Amino acid sequence: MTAATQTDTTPATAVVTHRAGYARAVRSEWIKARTLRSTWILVAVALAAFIGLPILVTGEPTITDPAEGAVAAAKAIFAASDFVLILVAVLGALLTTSEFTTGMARNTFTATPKRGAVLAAKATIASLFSLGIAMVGFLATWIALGDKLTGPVSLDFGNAQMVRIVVVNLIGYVVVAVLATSLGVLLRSSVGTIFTIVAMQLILPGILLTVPNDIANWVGAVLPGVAASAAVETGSIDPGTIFLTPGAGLAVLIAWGVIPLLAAMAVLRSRDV
Amino acid sequence: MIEATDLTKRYGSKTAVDHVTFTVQPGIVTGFLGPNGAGKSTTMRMILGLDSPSGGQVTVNGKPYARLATPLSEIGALIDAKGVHPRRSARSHLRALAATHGISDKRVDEVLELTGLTQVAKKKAGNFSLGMGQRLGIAGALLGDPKIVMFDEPVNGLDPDGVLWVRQLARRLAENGRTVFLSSHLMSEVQQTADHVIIIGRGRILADAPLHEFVAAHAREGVLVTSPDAGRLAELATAAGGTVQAVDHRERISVKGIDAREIGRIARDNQLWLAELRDESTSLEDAYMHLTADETEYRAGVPTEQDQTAQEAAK
Repeated sequence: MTAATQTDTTPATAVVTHRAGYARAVRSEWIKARTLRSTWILVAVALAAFIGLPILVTGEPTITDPAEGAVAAAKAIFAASDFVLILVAVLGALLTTSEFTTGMARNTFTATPKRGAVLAAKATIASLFSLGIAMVGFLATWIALGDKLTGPVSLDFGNAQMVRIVVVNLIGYVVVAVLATSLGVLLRSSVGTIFTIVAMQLILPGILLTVPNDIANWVGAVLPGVAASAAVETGSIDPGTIFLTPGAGLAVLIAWGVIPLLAAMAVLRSRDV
Repeated sequence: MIEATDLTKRYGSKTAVDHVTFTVQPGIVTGFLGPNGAGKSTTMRMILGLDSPSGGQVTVNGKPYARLATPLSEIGALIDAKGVHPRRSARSHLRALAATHGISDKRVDEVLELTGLTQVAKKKAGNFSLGMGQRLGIAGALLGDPKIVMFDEPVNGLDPDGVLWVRQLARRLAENGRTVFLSSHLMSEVQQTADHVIIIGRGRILADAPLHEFVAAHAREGVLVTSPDAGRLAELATAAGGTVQAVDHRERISVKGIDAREIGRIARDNQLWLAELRDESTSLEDAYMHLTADETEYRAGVPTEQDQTAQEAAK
């Protein structure tokens, strides 16, 4: 390497600096996220799954009622969400865990000492990536499914129930992204965060909702994925089943984003970096 | 200016930094010295607000770090050259830091040039040598053209060119009126760079003085004598009240208690052959070793608080 003998540190023109807060932290986090190849690999795999799985599993339309059809169409488009959300969680978790595992956190928190602002910025970037994946995936899948979504089984944005499914799904994407970012701070481990989210989304609902125990059923009912299902359920429910009302389901889903984020902020403020 | 008052950091029962008070002044290079594990890095992390003190406080230009609106223009720090995402390029790393303060890409390229990293700016930081990592850390520290620079072990892993560069950089920054605070466990390095030294051992400040004063105060200079008649000269010097130590080979001795002029006279009067006669120069390292030796003696000689409590209890 060439010998750097330059020692005149006086800049050619005065260096202009601006207050380090949330808005600039968002810009910084955006640069950090987009300059890692792993981010784009995750986005590509997530989109491939989002679009690919519905193409494979969606059958020819058999429903004749347009109201039912619109709901079925929206569900078909989001068919891969269970898996895509795990990739979203990996993306969100890496935004925080990689800071601690690489030691970058020390640079990050010296540049922006307001730790709450840094975490809010990371949650924002994770949410934007997640929403981006969900919206691009939704449109691309809608187009890709083509003639499987025709006639009565078509999207109908005048159908309130279908719109509710789409909106709750998008909220779910944001919640999982924020939850993963927060768990990344709380656990400081990518593996731990991913495992926790896989357990909550894929493993626990099957166990907790089926064991003959009221407490287990209740715990199962407030898991984020189950709460999201409750939030879109407007039909009648089997009597005796423990299940949240749609409003409660939506509130619980949003709480899964908010409460861990607040806990992560509290921990981040009090812990040494 | 950095001001620490009664700064303390405890990890469980272990006290890493123990009621430390010091001020780092602008316009000079201050060396922060001590063996590994003495509390240098912990102190620096507290200055940056990364670790919160268990007691006391520390301010940067009059404010606690967390209250600085634009910290990168107040203090630029190199804490850990490895603290970079290994798969992000040097330039992207710096742009991300710059974005937190709205610093232009032009300044990013300027600090890359300044640290000699322009050629490797697009390379992943994980492939950098330790020396290049140090340069990247220094580049980040200089981004905001800060009033204070604080480098933790900056010459670690640098090649001789790099060491010289850091030394000149530190001097230049101080000449520009900035506060320069460098930690090191390498005494010779600090001796060549610092104007002032703060010495820390086991979490406590052992000395805080201008470099030359510190060296003078803790020097125990002797006279170095090289002579084919070293044996006879040693006997005579001892008889004259000196203390003689053999040095590295048979012909060389170090004499304390009598000066070079007196030794020369003894040699002439006894017709002894002097090949070399000079005052031993005392280095910062010697002074430091003497200081820590004094410290050990002090500790051994004075009863500790626990002893006193035990004695009082016995009464």
